[in-house]
Amino acid sequence: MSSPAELGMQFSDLRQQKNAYRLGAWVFVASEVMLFAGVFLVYMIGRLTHPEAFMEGSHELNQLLGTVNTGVLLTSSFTIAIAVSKAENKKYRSASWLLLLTAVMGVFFLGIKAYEWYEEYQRARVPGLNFSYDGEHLPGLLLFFWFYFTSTALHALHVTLGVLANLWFAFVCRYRPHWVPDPSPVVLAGIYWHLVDLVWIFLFPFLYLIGGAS
Amino acid sequence: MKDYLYEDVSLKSWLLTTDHKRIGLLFLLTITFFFIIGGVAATLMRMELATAPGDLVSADVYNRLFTLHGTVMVWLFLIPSIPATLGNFLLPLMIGAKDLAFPRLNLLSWYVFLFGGLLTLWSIIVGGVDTGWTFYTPYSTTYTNSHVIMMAAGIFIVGFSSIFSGINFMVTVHSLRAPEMTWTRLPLFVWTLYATSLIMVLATPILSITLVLIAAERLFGVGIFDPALGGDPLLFQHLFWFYSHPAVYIMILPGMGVISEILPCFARRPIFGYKFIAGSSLAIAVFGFLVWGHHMFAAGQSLYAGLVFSFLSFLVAVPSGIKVFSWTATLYKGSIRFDTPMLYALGFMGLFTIGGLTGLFLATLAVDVHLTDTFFVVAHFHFIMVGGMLMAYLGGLHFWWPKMTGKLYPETLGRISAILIFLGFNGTFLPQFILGYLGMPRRYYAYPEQFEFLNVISSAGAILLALGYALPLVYLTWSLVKGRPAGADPWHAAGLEWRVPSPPPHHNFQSVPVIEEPYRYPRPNHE
Repeated sequence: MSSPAELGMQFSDLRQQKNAYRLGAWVFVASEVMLFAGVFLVYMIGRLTHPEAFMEGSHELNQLLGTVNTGVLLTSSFTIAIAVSKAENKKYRSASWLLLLTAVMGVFFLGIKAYEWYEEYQRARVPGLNFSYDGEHLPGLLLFFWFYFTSTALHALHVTLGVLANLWFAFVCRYRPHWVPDPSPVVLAGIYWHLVDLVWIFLFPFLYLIGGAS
Repeated sequence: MKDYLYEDVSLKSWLLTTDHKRIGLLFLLTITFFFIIGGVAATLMRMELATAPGDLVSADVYNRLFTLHGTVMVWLFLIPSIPATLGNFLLPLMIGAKDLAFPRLNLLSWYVFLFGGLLTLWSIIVGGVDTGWTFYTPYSTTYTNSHVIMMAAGIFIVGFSSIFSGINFMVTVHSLRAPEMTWTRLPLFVWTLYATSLIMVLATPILSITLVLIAAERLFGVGIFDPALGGDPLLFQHLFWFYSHPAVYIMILPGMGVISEILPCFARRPIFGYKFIAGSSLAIAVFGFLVWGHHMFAAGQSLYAGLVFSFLSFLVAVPSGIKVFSWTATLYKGSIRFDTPMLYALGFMGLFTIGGLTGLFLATLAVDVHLTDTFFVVAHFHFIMVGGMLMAYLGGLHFWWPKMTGKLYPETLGRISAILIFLGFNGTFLPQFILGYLGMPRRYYAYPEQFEFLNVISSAGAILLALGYALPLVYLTWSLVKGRPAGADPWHAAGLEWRVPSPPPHHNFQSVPVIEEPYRYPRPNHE
């Protein structure tokens, strides 16, 4: 029995394989959502316990750069959505360019984020590294900045993995299109990237916009 | 055509295998290793408790022993026990598939488990962790001087193994069923694996975050759980039990699946109430997410939260009862044969019922105030975890051993070990109910004289229990070399896995298998 080289031996046809991959991606996303749900629960309790400290911490963040980064990530979600649609129409060359563009925006996002971290480092706000603060909101502010660094670092880790996935699929679509019997891989990259975007959509207002503009 | 064991016998072919059957065996070896370690710790504890004063080990060592025992048994044995071994081996065979949906992810799951498991073990044995398996704060974050972060890291890593298996099983059940294998023809074991996977995928991430929070509080002094730092210790218990209570159902559900396979085969009767048993598995998985607060009745939780959690905990008894009654009805008018797997299954039914009913005592608010943190709780969950899950695991292992290895084990020794385990188990844990009721607290290495008699009985029971566990280790290993060939279907059982040779060939099925209604007993061809 001959089958296309791209078909895993455990599958009987490409349609079954496609369904399995897509369902796998969604179940993975469900698991990730629960992970971030735990993160947000801690945020909620921290903010309820220390409302003033969280507001003060929020006002110390760079709202402008946070906003720019939100714009970058939203735009990258748009480009990957187009990439998926191109791939579904078998236009792998354009899909490749769009994936590359998405990856570049992801790197840009990480760059801005790293610069923000550097700013906060200079203001001595990194728990475990150089955190020092003498004001009245101490335990709350420490919790806020710990939460800020942990959640944005966890998110940045996801962005990094997404960038690598996008680069890989950009390469595959451009140079090895025969590895892509159907647009599934690009769809998977899209699902994952939207998750990364979605998490940021929550993180941005939670972290940067408490109590209005600074 | 060579079977999966002999297709390629090099070490490399085992370490890089993506065959679900071989990965199942790798897990079997690994968790047996962890089981022995956890068992040794339990034996030492029972030896210490055989006399009232603390004389064999110091209080400190005793704390490490129950930490070692609990952590290893829960995370490195019970959670992966049935899903990762029997589940891995059987799921594709039972639904007529060649493998799981993501074979490489499956192998990764084993490596991740092995690495995380060894790290956990090392942190306890060398790093002396003494927090118990529950990591209660603020002790674990502020006071203990042991390698808590290392242990948390180990369990964090093991969690990924669970999530990978869960994703793999869910997708496999959805997309790899053979043509004609409809949802209502799935073996009930598959239904329970599915329900288990739901919990693994959705609850484990919360544990991961909780462990990260412990590390944060210990490393950076961030006030999350320690009141001295502005945190809330009850928050830890909420987060921990939001995973760890559903995790109890990760541990018991697959066992219920195994029992649903064994009973019809040895009663020669179709399973009673197929749809109700299948549905009750999902119901247990869903209710399991809503009852975590019953671990905090005496921990300062509000009375109203307590009332709601108490009521919801009672609700879990409904699907569990549906299962027990359906199993009992399956036996009615059956031609029952008391082979080894059946002895384990019958033992499960009795012990699980006692474990479940004593759970209702603990779910009753006023009674729980008296029983919290006593040996009654210890006895209750050991009836579920050991009397339930471990009996089911051993029953399943004996039931499918001929399929996995192609060899028969000595039946008489099998029956002796099953009976020994049943007697030893009751000897060990029945006295603990009374001890707990009389007020003996758990986790103490010394106790007043008046508790000594019951503790001696308990320790004596543990000797029988240990003997019962040692026997299968010997004769199952022996059967690998000397056992008689099993043939494809030694039990005359229904189910697709018995329609292929033992051991099965590398890709399970040579042609698309013919699917029949599940549990067609008595078998038309044999009787």
